[in-house]
Amino acid sequence: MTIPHALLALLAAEPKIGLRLKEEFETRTGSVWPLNVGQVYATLQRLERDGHVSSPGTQAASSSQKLYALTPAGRTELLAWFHTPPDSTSPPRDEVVIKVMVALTVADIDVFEIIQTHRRRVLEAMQLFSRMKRDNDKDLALALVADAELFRLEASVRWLDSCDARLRSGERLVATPSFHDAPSFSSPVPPPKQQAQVRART
Amino acid sequence: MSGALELQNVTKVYKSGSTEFVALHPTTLTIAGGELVAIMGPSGSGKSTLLTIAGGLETPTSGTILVNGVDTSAMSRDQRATFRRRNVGYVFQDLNLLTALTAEENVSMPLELDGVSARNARELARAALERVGMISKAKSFPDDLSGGERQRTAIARAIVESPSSGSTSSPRVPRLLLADEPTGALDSVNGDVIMRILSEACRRGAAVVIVTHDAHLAAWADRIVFLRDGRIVDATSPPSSPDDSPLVAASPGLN
Repeated sequence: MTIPHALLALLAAEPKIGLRLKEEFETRTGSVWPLNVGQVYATLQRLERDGHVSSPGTQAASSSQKLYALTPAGRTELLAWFHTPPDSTSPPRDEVVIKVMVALTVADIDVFEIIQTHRRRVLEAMQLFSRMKRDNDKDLALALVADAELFRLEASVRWLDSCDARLRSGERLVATPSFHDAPSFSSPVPPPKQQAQVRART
Repeated sequence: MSGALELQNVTKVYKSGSTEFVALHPTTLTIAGGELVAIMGPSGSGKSTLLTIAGGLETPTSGTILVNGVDTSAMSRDQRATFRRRNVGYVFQDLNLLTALTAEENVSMPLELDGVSARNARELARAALERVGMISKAKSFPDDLSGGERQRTAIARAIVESPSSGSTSSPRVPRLLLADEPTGALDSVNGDVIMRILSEACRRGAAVVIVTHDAHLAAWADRIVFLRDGRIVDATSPPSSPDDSPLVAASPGLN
């Protein structure tokens, strides 16, 4: 989805060969998304088939390196892509969220310890991206990509914090009534109204 | 290992009548010169208490505090105030800039209070403002500065160097820099500017301790220490040793 359009964008200024596209893609994304050259050529072939790029020739008369250029159809496609919102209706699965939610349903598991373990791990990942920014203060592409990762990870820490605070303040999952709470036929009196059952531990 | 800041079994208990509140259980923590440490924890976890005790603004109920190897817990109030002015830079949450003074005067004032000549103090203040990128605003008053500029002025005041006292040219001891939520309500780009300045102070040998609940800021630190209910409960591994030893071996209050 993203790579074909990134290649179209890199061709907007002038025709380029595949190897140069690979290098420019990596530089402009702060070298955090390595791209293999085979992937680049396969993508270019598809773009050419769809009429989004054309090959006006080789880099030099003596060279076999094929040049690629953006076609008018490719430019229209690129502009449309810039303005199309990403699909946000199906949120990505967050493993941290899943682990904590499942841990809440298991007795004998210290949920707070699990929360803290993930909080530390996420912060350690954030430290790596902050160090990348600190040590490359002239690299705007790297700063932008590192920020994107940092904000994503920060959201995870904030979720863990709020989860921690909610559980500590006594909020509990309402569990489905268990087998033992079900009214019994032999019961002489009707059982009291179902109580919300506490499953999370303090 | 000796550090720029060493807390040894430091506690803080507040008493009100017959009730006691333990703000800090016995806590041991060593921070080296050139190290940036972030202390994270929810409100009421004791992180600000830890910072004010480390900076000598409050006395511990028990325990020892060494700053550059000097025991500050044994000092009188006056001795500690002098020691603090010369060795500890403090960035307060509400900055405490004097509105009647220019940025430069705010930075030079602690030096002048310490007996440095006005001319000398101005020079040192301008050097500090230069390092935080504020030299062009040296003559501005705090009310005419943006939030980020006020923050940087407060940091310049914390990192301003005092001339080596006496005739003995002692080696430059690492200064201790303490900051409580140092970026306040700044946006993340300006927050990065502040953290870059603090990292730079670290690179020059200072030990920097920040207290924050903001993961984005804490991530700039070499080490993040997690506090809860007055105890150190966890810490990130230092980058130099990637082995899995997440807990601070130092504190007896571990889970």
